[in-house]
Amino acid sequence: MMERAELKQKARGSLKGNYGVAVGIALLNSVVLGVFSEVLRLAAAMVGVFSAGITSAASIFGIVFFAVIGFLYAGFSCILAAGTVRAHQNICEGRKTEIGDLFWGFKNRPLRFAGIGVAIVAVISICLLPIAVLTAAAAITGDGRFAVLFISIYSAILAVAAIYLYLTFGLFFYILVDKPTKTVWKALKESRVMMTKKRLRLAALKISFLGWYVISLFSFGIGNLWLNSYRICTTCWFYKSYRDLYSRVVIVEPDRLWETVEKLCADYRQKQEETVSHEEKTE
Amino acid sequence: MYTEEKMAGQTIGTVCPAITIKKKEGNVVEETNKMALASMIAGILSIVLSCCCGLGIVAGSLAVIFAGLSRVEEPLSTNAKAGLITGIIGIILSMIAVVILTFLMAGVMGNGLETLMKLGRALQ
Repeated sequence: MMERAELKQKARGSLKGNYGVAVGIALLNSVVLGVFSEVLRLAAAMVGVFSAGITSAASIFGIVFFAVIGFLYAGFSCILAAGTVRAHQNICEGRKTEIGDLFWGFKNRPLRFAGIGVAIVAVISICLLPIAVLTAAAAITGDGRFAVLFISIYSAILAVAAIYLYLTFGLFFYILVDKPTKTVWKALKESRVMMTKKRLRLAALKISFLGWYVISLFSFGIGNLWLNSYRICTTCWFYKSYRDLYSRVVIVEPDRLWETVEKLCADYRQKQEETVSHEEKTE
Repeated sequence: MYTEEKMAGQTIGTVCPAITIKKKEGNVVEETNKMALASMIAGILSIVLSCCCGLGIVAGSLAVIFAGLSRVEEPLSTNAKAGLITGIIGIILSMIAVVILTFLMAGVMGNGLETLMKLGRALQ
């Protein structure tokens, strides 16, 4: 099992000589997403002009249209995110990587990745619905005390739940991109199993990048072009370290089958004990 | 200057801080730590641009980021160290320059306002 410093070192080592591709992918991603969002904004503006709140039917159409735009953007960005993760996985595995890898998601079941993006946005929207309803009710009644209290407690609960889910299913996307034949549910399950007793490690890894992002604030976000690749590569190495721990392909000679199985089991038990002892040390 | 050190079982020579030589299958391969070099350039730029309305802060922070990313296995190379130090100096100088510039602007605007008020009184 690799330490945090070792993971970061491996990520920097993988990126050495590949920064051009990584930064190119980040730039192209921003440009494509920017153009797509502008097209959507133009469409929204046109609809806004045509249905300028004259009738209630028009305003309902407007709300539905804006929801559709939100889902479209989420789906599109999720497909591109799949390509970005794939490119960084290629970099970490030492495979050939090109800027065109950004569009990998469009060639490999794009609807599935789009669906994941839409599902995430839908869940977030549903979770935030009570806040919107209460805010509207407080604005109408003029009494906002209950709304403020509810929103404070509800936001805190939501934040805790979101962090827990993020850490539990943090490797879900990496599994799905690495093994495209896996179903979404299997990838979710695998991520949950992988992250058992390792959530703190992932949280610490993510938090360790905070200092970098504070420095990149001074560069007005230009430094993010390099730092994002570094962060994704480190997470790829984190995933790789556990993938190799949990799934190994071993070619065995038939007459030495049981001997090899016993050795593998002992090896696995030792690694698990090492993981648990490390967790206890870090906690 | 030619210094020699052992690394991962391979003989590696350092010609200058930016260039290391690796022995690979009988051929000598030159490998430059580009990030360290970029860090040093950005660091120097940050000092040069420290008087240009905060541009030095941008270059300085980039120098710090590049220096951090340049370190792979070996300790920070000389170029990266130079980039890191010049970058931090550039950021500090730029911040001082921005503060001084802000005070100067405030002073100029204050004087300008006073002049305008005097002009208004004279016109009345």
